[in-house]
Amino acid sequence: MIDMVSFHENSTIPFEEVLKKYQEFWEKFYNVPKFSPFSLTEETSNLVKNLQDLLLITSKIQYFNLNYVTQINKTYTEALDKIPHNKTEYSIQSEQDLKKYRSFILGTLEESFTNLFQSKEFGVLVSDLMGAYSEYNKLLRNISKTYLLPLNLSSKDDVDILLKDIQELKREVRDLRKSIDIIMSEDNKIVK
Amino acid sequence: MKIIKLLNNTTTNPTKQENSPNVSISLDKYNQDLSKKIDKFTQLYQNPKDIDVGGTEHQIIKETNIYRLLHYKPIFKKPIKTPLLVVYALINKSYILDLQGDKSWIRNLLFQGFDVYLIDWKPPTLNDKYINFDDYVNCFIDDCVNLIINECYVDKLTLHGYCMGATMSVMYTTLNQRKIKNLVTLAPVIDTSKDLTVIGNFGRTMDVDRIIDSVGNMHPQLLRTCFSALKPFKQGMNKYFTLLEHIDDKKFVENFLRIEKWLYDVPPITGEVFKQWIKDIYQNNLLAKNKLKLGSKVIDLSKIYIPVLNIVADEDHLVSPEGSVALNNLVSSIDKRLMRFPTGHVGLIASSYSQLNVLPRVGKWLFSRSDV
Repeated sequence: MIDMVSFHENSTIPFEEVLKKYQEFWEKFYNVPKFSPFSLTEETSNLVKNLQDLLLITSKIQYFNLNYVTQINKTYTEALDKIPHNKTEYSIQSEQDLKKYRSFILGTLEESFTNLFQSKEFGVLVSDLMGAYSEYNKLLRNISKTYLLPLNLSSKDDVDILLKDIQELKREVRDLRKSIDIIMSEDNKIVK
Repeated sequence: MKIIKLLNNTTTNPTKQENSPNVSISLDKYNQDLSKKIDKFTQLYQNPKDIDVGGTEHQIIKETNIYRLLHYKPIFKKPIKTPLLVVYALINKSYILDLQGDKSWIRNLLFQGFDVYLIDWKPPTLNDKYINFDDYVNCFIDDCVNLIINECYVDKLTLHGYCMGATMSVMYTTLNQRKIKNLVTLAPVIDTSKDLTVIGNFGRTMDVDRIIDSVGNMHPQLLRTCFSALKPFKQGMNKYFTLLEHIDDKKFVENFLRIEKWLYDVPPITGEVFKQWIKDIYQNNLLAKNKLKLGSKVIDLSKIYIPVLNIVADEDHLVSPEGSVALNNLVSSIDKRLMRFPTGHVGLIASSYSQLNVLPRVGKWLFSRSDV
């Protein structure tokens, strides 16, 4: 298993390349023939594939999370470096001094973090992180779908199709009602 | 740790303390008071009491699984004839407009003589994930408008939206202008190319299809994460220091808890709406380009010619003021007005400032354009 922390520090190997090699390694295993006498490998192969996918996605989550935490820590440290800790500059003698000092610290942190949150790089990182969580949810859904198959239950995709159709029908009914209302009001005008 | 070290460095300055013994006494007293206040603060958060909001008397005149249409009891026997329909946003809850008596946007309008209705959106379930802006605008808002027009025996009403609700009000007005007498928008999201906020930044880089495909509706937790990046220290943290300082002031604590309740009361947003919001409005800026489509209809803002009042908060860190101001340049109305106030997104609607400075001017503008 790759240690993501040390991997992150060793920036000479891009993370995407490590993932690619990892996938290539397992593909060799999946490509083992499934027909007799290898047929027993099929079940194992499916199980291992699911586990591998889970490992890949959790590795991505770990990688993006680590980047996220690193960015936050870096910004926090840089902001604190801007705060002078020379005793003579900040001597707190009253409540007012304390408030002023607090306000200064919060202002410095605010400025640094707002710059970080407004940067495109951080936006992309947040998007990657959210995307990785989404992939994880999707994979769990697919795994559960495979195991629920023998129970003959509707899958999420089946329910989604139904919900989409219902919403479309509602829209059509709405438009029909509106058309009827217009025709009725015009008829009333003619009668009058 | 570093902050603690810094504080230690500053508070234990021996030369200063030797010179002035009163200083250490004063700070000791401050520390004692502070620890008492922290105890109270902890108790407050460990035992939250029921927080009452939305106290203005009203009647629910229609309720579906998506919304409730509220009619507020008029203060005067004969209110202003043109009804006023408030369209709230799909983010957080509508009671921010009626948070408490002395800071209620709704109550103030009632006291100015208006007949006020409000669309209170209900949290969508996963069954509602395919509901899109077309449904919100052309079905739900339209149903409410028709109902009010019939109930009040009028041809037109004033449409008044806040934040995302203002954007939906603008969409509705372009398609149904014959039913709208005046359009009043509070902090509308219009031109996102001018948006410099953190939310705008997240929105522009978000792979929204992937997220919504996985979660169905936009999760409150994800929304809260995005909101927490807005002014995380000056507001997110400093407000708790302010609360500590005023912990013995019952009224202050109650006001604080009401706002806090609202901030954390985040319902989900339907997946389709969230996709349109991010892709069409934030990433492709289709609303400002007059290319946004609701169903088969294109939203062309230049088709708006009725009186428009656009109210913008200059210190808004959620909706970029410049992005809201753009509305006045995009509509064709001759009677259009822009009012800018030096306050924030929530301060614009739920503060003493808005009661004293914003609402009297809004009321005056509306009164002169309503049927009395």
